[in-house]
Amino acid sequence: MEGTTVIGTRLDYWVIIGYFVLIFGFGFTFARFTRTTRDFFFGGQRFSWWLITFSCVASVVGSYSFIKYSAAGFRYGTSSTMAYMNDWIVVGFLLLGWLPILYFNRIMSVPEYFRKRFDARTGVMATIIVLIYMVGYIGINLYTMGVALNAMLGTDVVLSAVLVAVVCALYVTAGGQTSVIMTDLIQGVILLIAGFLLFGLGLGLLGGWERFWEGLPLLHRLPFSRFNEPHQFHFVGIFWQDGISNTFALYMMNQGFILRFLSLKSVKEIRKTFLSLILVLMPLAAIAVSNAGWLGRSMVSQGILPQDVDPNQIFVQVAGRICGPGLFGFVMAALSAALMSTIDTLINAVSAIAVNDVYRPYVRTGASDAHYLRVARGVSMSAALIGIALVPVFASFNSIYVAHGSFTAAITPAMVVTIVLGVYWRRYTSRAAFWTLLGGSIVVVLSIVWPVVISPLSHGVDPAGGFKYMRALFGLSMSVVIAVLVSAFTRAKDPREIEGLVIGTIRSAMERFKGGPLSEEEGGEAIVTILGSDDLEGVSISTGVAVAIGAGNGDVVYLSDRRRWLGGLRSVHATVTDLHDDEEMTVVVARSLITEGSLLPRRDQRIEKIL
Amino acid sequence: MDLTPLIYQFLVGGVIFTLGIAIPWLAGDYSWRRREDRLTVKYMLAGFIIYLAVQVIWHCYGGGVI
Repeated sequence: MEGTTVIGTRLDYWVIIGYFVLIFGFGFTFARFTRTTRDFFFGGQRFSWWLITFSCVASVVGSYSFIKYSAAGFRYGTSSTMAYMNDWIVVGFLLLGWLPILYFNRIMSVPEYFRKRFDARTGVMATIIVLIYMVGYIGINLYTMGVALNAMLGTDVVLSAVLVAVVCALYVTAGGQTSVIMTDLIQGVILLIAGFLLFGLGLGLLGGWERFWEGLPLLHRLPFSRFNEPHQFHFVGIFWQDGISNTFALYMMNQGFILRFLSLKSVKEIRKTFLSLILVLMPLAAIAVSNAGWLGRSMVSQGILPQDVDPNQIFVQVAGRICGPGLFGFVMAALSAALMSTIDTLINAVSAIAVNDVYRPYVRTGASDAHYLRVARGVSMSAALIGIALVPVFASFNSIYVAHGSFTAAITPAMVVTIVLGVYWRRYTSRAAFWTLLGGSIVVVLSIVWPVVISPLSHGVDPAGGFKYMRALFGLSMSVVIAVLVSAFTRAKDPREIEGLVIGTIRSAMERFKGGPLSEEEGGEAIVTILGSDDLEGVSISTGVAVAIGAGNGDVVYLSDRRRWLGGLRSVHATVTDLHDDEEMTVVVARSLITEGSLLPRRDQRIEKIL
Repeated sequence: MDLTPLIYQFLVGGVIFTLGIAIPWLAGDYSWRRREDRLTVKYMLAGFIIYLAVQVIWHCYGGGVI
């Protein structure tokens, strides 16, 4: 290909259109697994870790990620990976505290947790903040996708955003969380393949690793940028904003991720998912989304690209330079995959909050599940429309990276502090939580008007940039101060009221989840034959099965199709209500559970003890 | 070669990481006797060490030390 702006042939357009059709059809295929609101929001809480891990990668990587991190990679080098390489910091808080508390209390959202842990008004405040956070994310993703398609096809930014939003909204509306997870599985794989394909071909064009590496300035080869300069991109700011504030926010308050983790079959699977995500797939994703920028810098050094190439266009420019017709379309399809997989997650999440935290408790209580399912589908479409309406707002910012940073830095610190202290500090009072949310957010907004207040925590960063990245540390610090001060002068809840909702009481939550005392015997799994029954509420396991999996009356078990590659698509949780005297590996299952789990009785099933 | 970011990341990040593991342990929310809990904490610690090792090696390679 000649030049740097001739991008996109007819074949590329067909590849992209074909991809959209594929995802649209695939998403619709899973609509038949969605019968209840529990299916719509949580996919029935039945999935395996590997399926959710890949779908999480797709959701973490938004369309803005390719554009934003490639631009950062071009400007600052391999330190563009910093934001993806520090999620390990929060792992203990998530896997040993926050997620088990949500899972075992069957809590569906942050606002619901706040209502139980604190009070109703704190829950309302959280609802408002979470909705702003997520709807804003939809808008920024749609905008960046519009920018990418504009660069490639010359299409109008808003029109492109509308096209993508409509495709996502339709399949999310039909299939809910199951469609989201299944499409995101494919999209996660595609975007990783495309990212590494681009890297491999780029290295080939540049003449191999050595030539590529030589083309990078020294500072571009390091894993971290400079500590506190330049003000546009410095280590300490990225650490506090992306590494701490945004990482806590992404996994703790982003309803999309909460729903994703709660769609897993057990807390053990949540642990596997998160560990494989942060140890394997996130580092790979960091390379996949950034390498176009590194390649671009090396290409400039070697005269392949001009010196004045626009960093915000570097991903599209490098892809256009490296890939031939068809392949370029595939890479652009991956960019679309990144967007769609984030948008669909957010649309489903906004619907969950709107239905479970606004409509159900405050607008119409006690309606049928079918009614709430219809409302959830209506909200899904509305969320996409609001996201589209926000596209022109984000278009008014000069830099996508700065726009995203400003947005998240403004609203997340107070919420993060309230969640963490809510879980880890029993003395933290309801009033303090409310004022942390309100006061913390106001203080951050004030710091945007008067950035000078951030100076004491600036770590020597040049004030010329308004301390955009250091605002997160300021917001976190001020929120903690408010929380401690208000807690000191107000009364905490009775410990019995917060049993199971704070650290040190998770065992109580587990017992409530199970409906009885916990079994200390380690669980196992076995292959069984199932028989349907109309006379049971749960399952009756044979003595042979009971010995094999170490389960007894009252234990919670998980029945699934023995084909592991289904990832739990055909599966259900059940309580053992009876044991029958039989050495054969048989399980009698209530017919309602067979229907709920879409089990196929003629096939062998896998049974395992959960609790 | 400026090591400040590397040290800051693993010192400050390390403190937060340690608190995330130590507080639930001290509160009795997980036990070293349960295999599942034991494996989870082992993988967390291994992850910390792997991240530290990879970023130190990367720093040295990028800086031309190795």
